[in-house]
Amino acid sequence: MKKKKRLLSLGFNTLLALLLSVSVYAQQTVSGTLRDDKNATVSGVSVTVKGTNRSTVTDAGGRYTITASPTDVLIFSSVGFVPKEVDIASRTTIDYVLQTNVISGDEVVIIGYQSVRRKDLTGAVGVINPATANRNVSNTIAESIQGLTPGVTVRNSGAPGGGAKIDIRGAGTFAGNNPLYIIDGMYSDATPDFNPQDVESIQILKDASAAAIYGSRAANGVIIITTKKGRQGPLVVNGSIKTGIQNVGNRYEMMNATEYRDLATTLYQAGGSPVPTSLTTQFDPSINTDWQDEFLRQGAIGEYNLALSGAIKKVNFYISGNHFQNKGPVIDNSFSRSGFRINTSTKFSRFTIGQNMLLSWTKEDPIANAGVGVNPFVDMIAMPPVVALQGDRYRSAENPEGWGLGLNNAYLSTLTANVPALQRLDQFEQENFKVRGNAYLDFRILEGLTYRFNFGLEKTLDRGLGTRQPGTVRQGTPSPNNNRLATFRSKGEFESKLFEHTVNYDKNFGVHKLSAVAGFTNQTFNQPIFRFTTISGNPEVADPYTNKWNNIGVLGRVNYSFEDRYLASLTFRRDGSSLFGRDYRWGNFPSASVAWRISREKFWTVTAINDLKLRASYGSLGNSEFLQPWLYYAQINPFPRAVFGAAEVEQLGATVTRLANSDLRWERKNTTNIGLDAAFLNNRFTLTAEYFISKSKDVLVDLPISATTGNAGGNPAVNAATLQNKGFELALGYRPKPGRDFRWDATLNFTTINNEVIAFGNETTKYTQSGDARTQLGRSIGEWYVLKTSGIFQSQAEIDAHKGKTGQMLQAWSKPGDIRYIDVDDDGVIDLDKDRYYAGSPWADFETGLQLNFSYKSLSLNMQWYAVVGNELYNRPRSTVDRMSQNTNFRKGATIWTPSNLSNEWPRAAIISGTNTDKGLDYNVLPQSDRWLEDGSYLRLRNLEIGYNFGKSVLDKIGFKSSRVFLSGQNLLTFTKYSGLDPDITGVNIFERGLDNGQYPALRIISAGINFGF
Amino acid sequence: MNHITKYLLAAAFAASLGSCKKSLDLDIENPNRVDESNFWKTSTHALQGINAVYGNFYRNGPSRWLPYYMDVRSDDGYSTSPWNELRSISGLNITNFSFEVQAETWGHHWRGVYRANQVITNVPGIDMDVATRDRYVGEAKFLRAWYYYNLVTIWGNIPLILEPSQPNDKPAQVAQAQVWAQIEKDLTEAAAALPTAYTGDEIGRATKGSAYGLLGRSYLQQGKNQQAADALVWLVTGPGAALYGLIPTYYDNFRHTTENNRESVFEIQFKLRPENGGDDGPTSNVGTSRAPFFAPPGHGFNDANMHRWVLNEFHQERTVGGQRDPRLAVTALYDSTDVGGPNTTLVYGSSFTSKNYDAGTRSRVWYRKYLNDELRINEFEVFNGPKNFRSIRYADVLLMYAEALNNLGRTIEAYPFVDRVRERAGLAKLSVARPGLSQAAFLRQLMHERITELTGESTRWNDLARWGYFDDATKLAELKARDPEFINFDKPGKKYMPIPQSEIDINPNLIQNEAYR
Repeated sequence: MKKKKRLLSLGFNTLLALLLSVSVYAQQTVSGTLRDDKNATVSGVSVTVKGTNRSTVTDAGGRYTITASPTDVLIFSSVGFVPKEVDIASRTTIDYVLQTNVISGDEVVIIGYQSVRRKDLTGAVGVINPATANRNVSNTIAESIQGLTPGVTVRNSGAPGGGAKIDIRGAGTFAGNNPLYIIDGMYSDATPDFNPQDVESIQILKDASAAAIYGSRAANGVIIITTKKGRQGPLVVNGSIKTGIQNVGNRYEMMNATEYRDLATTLYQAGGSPVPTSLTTQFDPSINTDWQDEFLRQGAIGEYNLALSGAIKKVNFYISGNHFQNKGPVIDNSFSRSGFRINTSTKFSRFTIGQNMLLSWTKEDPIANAGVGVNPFVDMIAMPPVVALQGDRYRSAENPEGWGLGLNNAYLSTLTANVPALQRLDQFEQENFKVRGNAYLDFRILEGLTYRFNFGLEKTLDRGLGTRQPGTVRQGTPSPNNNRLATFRSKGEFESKLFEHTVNYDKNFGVHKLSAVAGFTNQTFNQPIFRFTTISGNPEVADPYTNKWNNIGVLGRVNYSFEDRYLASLTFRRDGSSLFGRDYRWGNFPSASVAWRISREKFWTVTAINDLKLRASYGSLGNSEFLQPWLYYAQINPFPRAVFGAAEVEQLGATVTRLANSDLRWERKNTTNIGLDAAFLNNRFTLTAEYFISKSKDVLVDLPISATTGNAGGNPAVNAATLQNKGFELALGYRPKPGRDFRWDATLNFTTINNEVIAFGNETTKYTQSGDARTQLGRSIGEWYVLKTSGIFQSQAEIDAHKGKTGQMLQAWSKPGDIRYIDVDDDGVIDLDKDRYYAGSPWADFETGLQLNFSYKSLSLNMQWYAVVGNELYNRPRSTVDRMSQNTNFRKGATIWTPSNLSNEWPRAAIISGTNTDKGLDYNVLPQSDRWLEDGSYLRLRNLEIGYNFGKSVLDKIGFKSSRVFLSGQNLLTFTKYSGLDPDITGVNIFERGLDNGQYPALRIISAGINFGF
Repeated sequence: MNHITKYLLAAAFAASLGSCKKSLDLDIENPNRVDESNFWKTSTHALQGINAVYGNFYRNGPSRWLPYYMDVRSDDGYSTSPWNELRSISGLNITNFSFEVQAETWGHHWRGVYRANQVITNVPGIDMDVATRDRYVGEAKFLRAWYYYNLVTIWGNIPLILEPSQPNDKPAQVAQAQVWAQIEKDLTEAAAALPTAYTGDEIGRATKGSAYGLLGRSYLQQGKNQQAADALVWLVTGPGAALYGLIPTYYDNFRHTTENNRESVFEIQFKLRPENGGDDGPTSNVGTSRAPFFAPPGHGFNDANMHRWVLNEFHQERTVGGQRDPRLAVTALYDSTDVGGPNTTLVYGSSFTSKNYDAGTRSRVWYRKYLNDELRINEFEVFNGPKNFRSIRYADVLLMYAEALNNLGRTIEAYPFVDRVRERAGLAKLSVARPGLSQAAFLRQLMHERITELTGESTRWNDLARWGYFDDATKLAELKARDPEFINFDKPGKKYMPIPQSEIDINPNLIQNEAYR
């Protein structure tokens, strides 16, 4: 009892109190011994009552005891063995011999409106084990599946409540490239409101044939998530508690005040500028601010789950509560989520009705980054250490609290922002309340023929509230809102309703198997947004806007198989969308796929290969993700104002400010997929390989139009590009014959994708430029397009020798110590636009993931490794502090080229306060050069988890039926040459996906937790 | 739960089968904005349309950046901005042709043209009061000419767009004469259609006088002196003479409280309201963000400075009362804006001395016109400043008229108009101080008069262009002596700015200006 009390004090007594009020059903005890095919007992096998989360594990002698009702089904599963379901059938002793053959292919995969056996798949579908995904502490489902399946690229930002970027088979569009999420049959999107513990299955539809049933919604792939359901039988209670710490795992090593003073003094002197007195006569040794310490802190996470499932009379239920709290690793930065789920279903005669519902509430306090020249993760390294966080010296009418910043005077001048101050002055919190779910009715018309009505609803209420205290945080930037207190309020709603009618048919005729679905789907969206701004008591300015759009689809699919040997699937969907003009609304999206299980042929005699299946598919998917409602006509902007008269009356104006293309139409993505599934050597090895070519045509993009048109407020959308992605995916599994106590398995996945712009715009547009990245015909999206450097001139002789084709000096203005630029176009002149070259791609050559699972008796060890190889990143934070033309702090070890300090890494540099006439210095700090590009390859131990299953004897004492404790580390080890905080970069948009613009880095999390059931 | 589910389902099912018209409709009415095809139907639309053309003045191109092209780029200004690209405009060594300032100044001018074109094309078809309709179209023509005047003098070789744009338009450039001819035509038609004055809440719209003023300026710039005189005469001795005049206090031309006075021929109306958003939205700026870029450290970005030689021009003469030219303190902010020196010179309410500027900064001079230094005591400048910009001032009209007459050989007739400007400043009449000047000497004198009267008012660059400074090596040497940045003026083509490269990339019909190829 003492142990139990200690556990109770962990903080879930209230949850227990709740449980005690729930009556418990009659049940019996089932026990038995599990052996392998060599008749050895097997320990550590989990024994679960099907449809519940109630489980236990076999002890050292392979024995188990579990409570269940006489009609329940037990599932025996363990690493290295075939999971087996056994009907209890009123028995009290069940012994069983586990099969080490791991491949059955009998598990059901949900492919949208239908489910099929995994071995009957004809398209490319990835299935993710939620248990593996859940080892990570993640804001979103997307984040949790990084590296777990081929063809799916996930890039993370570590911001609490922040989302991940997910690309399924590359980018085939210029919009967000976000996949469609189908959650229990409801069309939805990725949001951080989801409790990962509720997830029962995750399927990823990758090719056209798999996704075609979702037609125009599916071009970016589909992620189908189902949540857990209750089943007939006794009440099952499952819970978990996880708690841990969270950190920015890596920091820049910056100079301290003395080191900075020495280098900065040199730089000012080199520029012939007066040295600020903060470095000389007024240098204060007591000020040595570590701005990273001021901005960052140790974060914490806590996650609490409790789920009840079972049945009350004929109603099956699953109820769960979840609370997740994340104190961010940046000051004044946090996220929390509370969720409550109820899933129920019941059968009566030919009807089944059910519903799934999530209520969730999230609260986010993001980091403040508003204001001219503010970039928090850059400023935290760039602010000189001689600036105090706060002090009287800095106080002024514009800076009443005296936050440390550049004063633009003889004492101190720096343009870096004081971001810890901004975090305090700028307060904003976003709350979000969401209901998402569906309700359905199934009616069995005949054996094998079922009608379903499905109603889905998602409703979100957002509230944002912020204040901005007066005060500037950066030299030269005024205190915003004319130095008055401002408050901001925003209110948003999102409502989406789904109505669907489908008929499913499923029948076997001897060796012929036929299944089909046909249906109608209709989804409506309504999104009113309100924003209010108030500055020091002035009236609120409201800015309401409502988005509305509708989708209608008719869908159908037929699957046929003959002797499990020949399989075929045909899918058709016709979609209409209100986002297009009247003549362009409807699109047809067909697909077909076939598979041939060669190993089922009579002539197949290769015994080493147990299973071999070839698959091929071709299909067409649509996309309109890029569009907002009503973009297909020019709208009258009602906001221009004209001020007239002594009273300064604001007269209303209205005109077209943004031009529109009226012929917007569907993007269309055609994908060919060839796949192979195989199992070898008694099914110990499994292999799935896929090759695909997808071509997206009429890709929507807001291609820049000529400014002479007078266009404002964003370029008009236009169907202007063709993109191609070719890729190869491989998934390998290995499960050696399990030992009695020790077992392990490994899965490896590998993805390589080649992205290319095949056609771009009209006859004249060949590229679009975004920052220093260019998206050019015949190349990948967003390749780096910058000046080419070639080391540093070590002497005047080298400058003299650097000549163009006509023999003239290319850099006559340079001095020894300056960067040498290559005359890329060989016209004899170094030109900042024309002498750029393609210096690398933000797309990885390949990425790969490896999962390793080991178990020894009750101990388990799981590892997830993930690697990205061959991408090129632009390191904006480094460029800010390595330029040394501005007064910033510098990286430890930074230096400048001098005749007595030769370097091929650090050029000549100086801080010039007046007019700079030294062109060489300007050219040494050009942002558009390959000096700032770095290899973004990395290998990362994404997750390491050690777990221990308590044996029956311990469990009995504490009154639990099962319990497991674990210690988990996320992002513990990263091997990379990238010098920034983290190489896992989401980029700023699709055209600059390799830009580290001071991104919130993926975080290191160390957590411990316990799972329990009773 | 079960029952709830049932009822919910029943309701949803009914909704999906029954009154599902709304959800099945793919024609969704836009509750937020009017479709263009439903606009330009009523007199209200016409008024809103012309107001929207004025509304474009609040964008950065015309309100913030124009002085960099017209003043700082000239020989009276220079920049020590840490923003290399901004500095390169005045430095005449621009390498990034598409950077923000170029893109905004170019783009926002074309936005003005587009909005004016919408009015000129659509409003004549509206069934409404004819006189009002003609006035709106006249205003639009004036404004279109205002934008084209800047476009053709800054970039030289530009397209001429007179119809509302389509997304795929890729217009070619036309001969400069064709642009000038359109400016003349628009302004002539505007002058005919516009009233001589407005009252109450309409003050600030373009008038007949505005049109004649800009028309005169346009002719003079082309060397069409007779036509310039013919246009300006309406203001100087014609009917306009009764409406316009010089106000007694020079400083009142640059104050918020004395706007739209008799001296104002065309004035861009700004207002400070708390919000200062960028593009046209509910919280858009209707003020000007010019001042923070011109203000000294602590109050602005110090992105522009005035050369000290300008100060000397003011010291050439003293007033009849023996005082310093009062226009100096209005024109320049420096350590002796107040004759008492740095201890009594106020910089936004505090003494120059108290600023603890470093040695380099202490020697600088800032353009003072259109700073809000008397309003923002010890505070940073505002991005939504309220001071109207006097785009055409009557003093300028008088000096332009005098210049046109002098160019026509009517030097003696030109004297009285210069005298009016000098007398307001307290100086002796020119006919007393320097009687009997030759035509060339009179022009020389006019150059001096325009510096002391108009520095910082965005006329200087075109003055230099008109006087042939960019086409003559001797005169160019004069500029280099005054402003070392002119060392980079290595080709005559540098009198024009490069067309943003991004524009040439999009539109192959545009050819880059010769000096930048």
